[in-house]
Amino acid sequence: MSLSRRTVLKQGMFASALLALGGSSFLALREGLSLPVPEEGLQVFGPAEYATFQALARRAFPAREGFPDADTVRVAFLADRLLARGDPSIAREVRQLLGLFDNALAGLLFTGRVTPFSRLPPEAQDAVLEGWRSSRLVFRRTAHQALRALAHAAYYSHPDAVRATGFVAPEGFHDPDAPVWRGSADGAFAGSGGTSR
Amino acid sequence: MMGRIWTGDELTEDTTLTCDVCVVGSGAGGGVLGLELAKRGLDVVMLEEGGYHTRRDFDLDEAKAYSTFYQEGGNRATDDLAISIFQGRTVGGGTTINWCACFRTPPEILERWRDVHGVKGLDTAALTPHWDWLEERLSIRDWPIEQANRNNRILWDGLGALGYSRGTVKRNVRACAALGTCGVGCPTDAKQSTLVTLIPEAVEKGLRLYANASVRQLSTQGVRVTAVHADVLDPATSRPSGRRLTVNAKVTAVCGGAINSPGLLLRSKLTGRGNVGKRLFLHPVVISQARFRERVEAYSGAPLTVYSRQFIDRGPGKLGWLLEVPPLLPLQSAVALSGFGAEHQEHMASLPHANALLSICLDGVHPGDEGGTVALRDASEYTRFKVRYPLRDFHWEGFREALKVSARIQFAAGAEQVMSPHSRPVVMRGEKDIALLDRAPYSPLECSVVSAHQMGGCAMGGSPQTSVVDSTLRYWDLDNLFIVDGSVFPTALGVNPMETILGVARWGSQHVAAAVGSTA
Ligand SMILES: Cc1cc2nc3c(=O)[nH]c(=O)nc-3n(C[C@H](O)[C@H](O)[C@H](O)COP(=O)(O)OP(=O)(O)OC[C@H]3O[C@@H](n4cnc5c(N)ncnc54)[C@H](O)[C@@H]3O)c2cc1C
Ligand code: SF4
Repeated sequence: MSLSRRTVLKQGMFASALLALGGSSFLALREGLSLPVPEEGLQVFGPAEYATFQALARRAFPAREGFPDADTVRVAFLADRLLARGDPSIAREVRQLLGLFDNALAGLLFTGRVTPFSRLPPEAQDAVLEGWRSSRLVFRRTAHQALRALAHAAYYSHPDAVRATGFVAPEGFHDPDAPVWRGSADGAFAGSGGTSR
Repeated sequence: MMGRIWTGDELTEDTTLTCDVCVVGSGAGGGVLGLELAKRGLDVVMLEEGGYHTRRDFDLDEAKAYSTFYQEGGNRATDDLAISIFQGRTVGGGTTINWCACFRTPPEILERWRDVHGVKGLDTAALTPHWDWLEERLSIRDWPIEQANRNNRILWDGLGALGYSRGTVKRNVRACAALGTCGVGCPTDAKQSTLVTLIPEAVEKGLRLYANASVRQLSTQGVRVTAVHADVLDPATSRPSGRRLTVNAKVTAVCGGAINSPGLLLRSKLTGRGNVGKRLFLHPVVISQARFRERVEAYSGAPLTVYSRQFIDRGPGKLGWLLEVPPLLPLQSAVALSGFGAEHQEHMASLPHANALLSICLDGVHPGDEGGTVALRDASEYTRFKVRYPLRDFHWEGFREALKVSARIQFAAGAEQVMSPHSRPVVMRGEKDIALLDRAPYSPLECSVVSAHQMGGCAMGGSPQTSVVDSTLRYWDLDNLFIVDGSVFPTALGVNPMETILGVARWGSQHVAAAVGSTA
């Protein structure tokens, strides 16, 4: 559920220094994957962050019989919409994080590679993700957790993904027209609980 | 006076109200307090930052539910993301989206509050009449084992096979259809949350409830709170609409729950001599996931109906835990359960065969276990607080032993595979593999931890040097400010907290009411 995050980039001098360096270096400007922006537009992500997140989602949800793929579910698009509903500070942090994640300089420091994450072949992307997951640096593990949770929350908010798990929501119980009581002046008592008069 | 419920869209201009008591928050604490005060004929205004969501909105869509009815859209967590924190944010607070397990407070916890923390007058005898009343009013009844779903039955059978103590749980339901969807709001109003019980009754007795009203600050002068300042939120976006709601009350009761109540006090520069935001307890939970050959369908049936306190007391200096099972709805499972990529999808594909076991750890009762802290973040961060909860060797030892016990129980009940909550799960295929848990990594984010029971942050106690409120729930340094919710607990409980909060609030309502009299 948690499209978690947190001050992943504020977790110490190391991360802040990396971010500062990233912005000013030639390597950091190496372009990542480019994907067409959804026709509905993006509310939080920029095009680069959108593409990075979708690249990550493709590794989170590899092709599997019965399950829709990351592109069908449009994971990055749904993640963008989830972030738009939350506190803007979270969206800001996730964007920063994706920038760092795809950053070639960070790649060089952490993995020895200078290709942005989103342009790596799938096996190399898996290795990068594993590196963040199991890193000795808490801030990298935090970053992995934030992106993983956001991807899972977005993917499993799609009805086809939910169906693929075998879960069927109980039907016939929800009444979208149920009256909404606001006080005695509105008539019937709100709950089934009645009163204790 | 006629009560009513208003929502943010109806508040189209800045508004100032006067009343006897302003209650901030409508959850377990606020709901009870509001009714008890209204019953006494007091003029009560209740402000709730969440929306007014009713069964019309409880359409069982998980994504919508978490992002709408939970604090921070379901994303609240400690600063390092090592502990995910689930907490309600809607009229009824946690009672609207919780799993209906009801327990009276263990007597030894109340004794500890008296003996170690100096709390006076709050013991089993004092709370019993309130629990009796609440159990009648909220239809809190045993859910017999014959009605347990397969998920709970697995726990029951596993505990029985190993000779461990076990019990069935009381639930606050009426005509429950056992849908299993309590965590996303009950679509039938079977759950006797404060949303459908005490709050409507209070409104009938005159309480004025304003939903989408986020209290930002309390103004104080001398030893008194003089005004409560709230931002009106747009119900569609939960962002400030630009309108303000100000309440001038004789007495103010903060019932925002652990984390938000200390947060509001800190925003108001009320630090309780440095004690506000300290002693935050989370009942940290580790989850052991199992796969069974047969279908378990842990997403269906009454979610939480069996428990064991066999391991609650492992002796001095050792973290103990309560055992229960959670419902496994897909989205929540996807985020809470371990693994990534193909491995994670494998778990999700076998969701109908999954069982999970919660080890809910009792924090705050061992020497040196001070829990976590709540502090403020940037002013621009509207819903977020800086929550820290250091996990130490003490916790990891408990988590590791709890996972071993869980695996044994799951195997004893017939599991074909058990998985740990590590980010790279330890996969066990039989008893002999349980030793693998000893070699797994135990550190933040390598082993995931969650919390659905937040307590503390405004601890009650016998001295203003060590606590935030006195034994009448009054803020030590102000005459007309009370805190009435789970944040006043000086320790965690070792049982699910709702009934304790309800009972403490009903007990505490006498003190709040008396303060109105004394200031009238
Ligand atoms: C998924 C889940 C399952 C659970 N299952 C169980 C269970 O089975 N049994 C059990 O005993 N417990 C359970 N709990 C825990 C239980 O619901 C809580 O412990 C309890 O509701 C806390 O009561 P409270 O009064 O302290 O706060 P809450 O019930 O959280 O109420 C606080 C309210 O105040 C509002 N608020 C906060 N700040 C402000 C502000 N500044 N302005 C206005 N309003 C504000 C919040 O939006 C919220 O609605 C569960 C919790 C969750 C999340
Ligand atoms: S299990 Fe009962 S109380 Fe929970 S959502 Fe279903 S009908 Fe409501």
